[in-house]
Amino acid sequence: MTHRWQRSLATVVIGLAAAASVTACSHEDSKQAAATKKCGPSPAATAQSTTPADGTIPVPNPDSKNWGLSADGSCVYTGPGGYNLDLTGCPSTWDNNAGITASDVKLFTSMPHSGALAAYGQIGDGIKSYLGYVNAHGGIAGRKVSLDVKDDQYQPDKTRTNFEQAVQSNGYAASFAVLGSPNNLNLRDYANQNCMGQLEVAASDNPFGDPQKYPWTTGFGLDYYNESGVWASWLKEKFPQGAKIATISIGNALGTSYINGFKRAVKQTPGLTIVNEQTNDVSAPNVDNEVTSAAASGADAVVIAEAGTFCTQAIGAIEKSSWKPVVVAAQPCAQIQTTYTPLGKQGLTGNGTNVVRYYYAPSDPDNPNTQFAKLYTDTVKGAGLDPANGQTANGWFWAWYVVQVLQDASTMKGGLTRANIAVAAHSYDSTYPLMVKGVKGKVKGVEDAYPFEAGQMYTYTGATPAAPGHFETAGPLIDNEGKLGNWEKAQAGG
Amino acid sequence: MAITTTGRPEAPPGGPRDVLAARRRRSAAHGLGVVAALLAAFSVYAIIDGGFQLYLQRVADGVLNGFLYGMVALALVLVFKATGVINFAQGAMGMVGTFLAFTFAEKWSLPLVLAIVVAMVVSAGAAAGIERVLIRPFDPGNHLAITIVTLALYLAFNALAALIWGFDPRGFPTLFPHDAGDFFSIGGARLYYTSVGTAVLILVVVVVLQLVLSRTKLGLAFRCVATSVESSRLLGIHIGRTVQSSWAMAAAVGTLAGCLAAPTTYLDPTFMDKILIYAFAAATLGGLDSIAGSVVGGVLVGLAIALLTGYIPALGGQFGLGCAFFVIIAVLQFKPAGLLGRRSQERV
Amino acid sequence: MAAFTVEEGTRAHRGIRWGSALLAAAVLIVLPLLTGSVGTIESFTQIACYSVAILGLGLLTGHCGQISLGHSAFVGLGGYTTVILVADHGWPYLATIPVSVVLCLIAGAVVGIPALRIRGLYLATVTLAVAALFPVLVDKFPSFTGGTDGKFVPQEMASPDWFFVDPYTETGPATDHYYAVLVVAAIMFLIARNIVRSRTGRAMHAVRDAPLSAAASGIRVARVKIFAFAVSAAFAGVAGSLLVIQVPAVSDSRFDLYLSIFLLVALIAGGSASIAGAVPGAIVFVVLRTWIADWAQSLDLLSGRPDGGQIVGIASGALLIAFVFLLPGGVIDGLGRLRRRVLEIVPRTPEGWQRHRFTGTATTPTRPALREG
Repeated sequence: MTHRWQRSLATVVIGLAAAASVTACSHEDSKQAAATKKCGPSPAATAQSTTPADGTIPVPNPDSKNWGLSADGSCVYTGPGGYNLDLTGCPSTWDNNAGITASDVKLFTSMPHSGALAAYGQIGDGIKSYLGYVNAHGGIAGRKVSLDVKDDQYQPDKTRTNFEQAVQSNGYAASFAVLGSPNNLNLRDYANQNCMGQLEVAASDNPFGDPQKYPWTTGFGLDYYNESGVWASWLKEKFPQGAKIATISIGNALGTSYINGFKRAVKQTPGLTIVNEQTNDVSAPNVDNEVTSAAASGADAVVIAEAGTFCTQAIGAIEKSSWKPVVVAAQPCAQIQTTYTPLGKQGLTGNGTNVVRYYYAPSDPDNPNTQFAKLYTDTVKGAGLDPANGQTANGWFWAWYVVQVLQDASTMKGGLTRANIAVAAHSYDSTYPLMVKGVKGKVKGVEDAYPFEAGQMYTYTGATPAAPGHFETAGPLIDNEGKLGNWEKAQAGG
Repeated sequence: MAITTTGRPEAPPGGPRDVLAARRRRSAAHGLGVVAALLAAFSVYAIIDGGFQLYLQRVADGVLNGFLYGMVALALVLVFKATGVINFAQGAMGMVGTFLAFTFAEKWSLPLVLAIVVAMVVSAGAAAGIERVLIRPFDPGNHLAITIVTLALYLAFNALAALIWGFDPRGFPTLFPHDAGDFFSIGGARLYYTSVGTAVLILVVVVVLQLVLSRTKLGLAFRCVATSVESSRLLGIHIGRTVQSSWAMAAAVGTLAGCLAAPTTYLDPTFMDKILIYAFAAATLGGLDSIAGSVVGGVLVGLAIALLTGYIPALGGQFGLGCAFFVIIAVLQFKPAGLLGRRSQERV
Repeated sequence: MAAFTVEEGTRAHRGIRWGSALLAAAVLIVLPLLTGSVGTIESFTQIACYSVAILGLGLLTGHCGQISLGHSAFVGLGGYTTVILVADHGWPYLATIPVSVVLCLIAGAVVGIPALRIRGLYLATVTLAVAALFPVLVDKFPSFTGGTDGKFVPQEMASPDWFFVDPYTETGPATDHYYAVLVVAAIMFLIARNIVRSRTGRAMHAVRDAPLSAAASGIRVARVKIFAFAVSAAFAGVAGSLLVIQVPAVSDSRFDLYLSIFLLVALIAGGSASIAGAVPGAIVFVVLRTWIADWAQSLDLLSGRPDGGQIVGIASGALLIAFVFLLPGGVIDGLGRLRRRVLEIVPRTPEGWQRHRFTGTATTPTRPALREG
């Protein structure tokens, strides 16, 4: 028995050695074979068409034509603000035109469509419905855009698997709006090593604004540092003589980032002090204990960095208690339908809660651009979706900037290539039709990596237990455009 | 996996000779006494540390949450007593029941009390059906297979509810007065009518169930099946029907628990999942086969979380579950079958 | 009655065993070369990883009778150990596995201590605490573990140059990972098999079946239980390290309570007291955790409904129920019954048994209770 075992082992070892020596040379061949695909310009689009000028589809930035493929023929793409993309480091099999044909652009994303956070997956459906509208009106300079959505159940390793498969299939130009902070952090190194755009990620965490280290990654939305900076500025105005502040946050990436950002902002704002910090477990049934503890501090103001039902629970518990602080709540707590309406059944209203807003939901009663809201409602209904769903509306917000990036990239030198898409994601300057007045989405290479840096405080008022209320402005626009810069500067400033 | 209890049925009131029962009572009283003493000691520290008002408020929070955990634990215990299995789908079933009550109250505009009662009846019927179709085909001793079925039900119910009602949180009306001034003020702490009413209602349910299971034939059958499936069969007890009634009762209790918890947690397809872990902890602490123990365990878990995370800042709310489990492990070291549970006896 | 009957220990029996083992090895080696899809290869790798975790849980639950809902924490401990050592200290991936083993042995022994006194579902609660606390602890030490953001290794594991897989093809890296995981998993299976067949393994069975009798017959129950916990945790830790080789990223949500529950489900579905059962168990696990989601998406069962992904939960539930109804004793039990229709293996008759035979009783040998390691 032993002899047979030894003999078979020897056979396997010899076989492996032989196979290794035969294949040793072929690695080198395949390594060099693909280098030529790297820097090529895009195939010319088959149909040329113009974008309608009614402001429902973003038009290319006129400056875009100065950027893109370097004139000297080297494999470097340039953008504004000191942004350079050198493709020589990309993998040997990398193709600058993967997912891009003369008639189509294929994009990729991964978000939860099942599991506890499946509600967020509707962002993807919102994006698709807007892309459908764009495709029906000429597409991107003649190309039709499509988005493949993969379900990851908000599990970072599943996101990674989805993303790796997308990269290895060589069938996608870039990924947009992949959801979740841990999920995206997990992808960042992989995406940049493999030169796959990980663009406009659906996580407002600040580390995604780091173009020096991660030129293929961009963040999106009002990031946590800027949002909490708006809170601090506003609280300072409200309490010129200074204020004691308590915080209640959820014990996950979202809550941690908000509190880190807020602490940084408080440090830079003399007079404000954080006197009590409460963090609840994500699996806690409610936040009553945390609210009681925060109330014991008797703080003048409370910051609620929660998500989902925890928002409603915290706002409700504070309203019921004898503690009457100024309540500031984070973006996830800013939707009337999901955060404030459920309070009515308990005889509560949520009146007096202050949130930052920087764009309107189409269904908001105070949204001034009713024309675009109507377009949204009609298109979304036509796609079989619910226009009242906040995530579908968010999807349109994302999709606007996806289209903006593709439009800009199409006019750059070298045309619509994967490298130009990455350059465009670092150089757009565009105002979504539903923006709060004065806010714009602008990035400029390495100098300014955060697109939205302004917001206005609104107070939720006028609600009764029977009927929801509305938001009213609670102060002027607070604009920090360009101040934060990028992640390295943000860290140094903290 | 099976925990076979071989203790004898309880002695009739006043029966003097049941030595075992007396010893058990003494042991339970002893355990409760130690826990109460520790609690009192911690309370002294807490009052000195943060003042009386804060202490009262924390106790009120903890006790209310504890009663809710205890109520779900009660549902777990009901099924466990008759089958020796933990029903992992208990929370999901209660969640669906709560959504049903919500739908009855909103869509059909039934009065809330009636809506809850109808939902309890419907869920009891559904649970009886589930038991008949999915549980009874298995040998009652095949606990592993039954556990898998309950896990499968858990997955399916959660997904079903998400599909039907979506993930947006909803408000659930409360049975009790809840206007701005509806609270008792004790030493500055607020004790809301809703909380008091919920706690009283849960206590009533526990007392009723305890009476039903100790004074009726059904209760006897429960205990008999829990003790030994084989002997029950010989005694002519219809095992399937006994188990079925335990499932039905547990589902009704679970739905009521959901309806009582939803006003504080708000209603979405995951709200009972969160409670279920604490309920599991509560049931273990009180003793998996003890009706009263489930509520005692629930209140202790609620208090432990509120007081420990509140007064030990290094822990913070994130360690809430950790505190609960720490208490449980400590208690189980001394009483391996929970505070009020019956110790299983083994024979070689 | 079976078509063939083979006596244990004979030449034919040995031939069948070695033949089937070699066949299985050959299939496992060729498997990734047959498919061109990265996704499929990664699924195979996942199956191999999880089979080690399930194997470990099986040693504890199936062979020693102690329920654990805390194995996600041990898998997580192994995973975090590998990620931290590779990302922060530049270790090679495979070299971290012994460290995971040592750490998990210690952690498992510590968790095993309460098990000396607590039993059954009460023990499940205690271990549940471990699973519930692990993510919180990870979040509490962000400088070390990456906290809520998770921790990642930028560079995937690369195979040495002499290896025959071409890493510059699409499937190259995935295939490399598969072979690395496969080798480690095979070693773990051998270890598990030897443990079960050893003196300690018999002692574990005795503790499972009758703790009191075991103690009475001189087995140190406490020592056996703690050994089982420690070894089982070590297996889980290895599985964690292997999972990191497959996808070099960890986060608190990758090792949550649901992982524990699903591991237990997979163990029961595969066949709890069986070494080989870990493989079908892992297949069930991967099908439930990943494949169903992909199928549901590709079939588009609820087309037009954005929350159509929820069909996954319903399908998983239905699948599990169907599974338990068809194979109440697990896959291995079902396969065993199937095999016994074709081939019956009977124990070798003791030599010279005729001399001890009672005269006049022509008994047919009763079917032996088969509990194969």
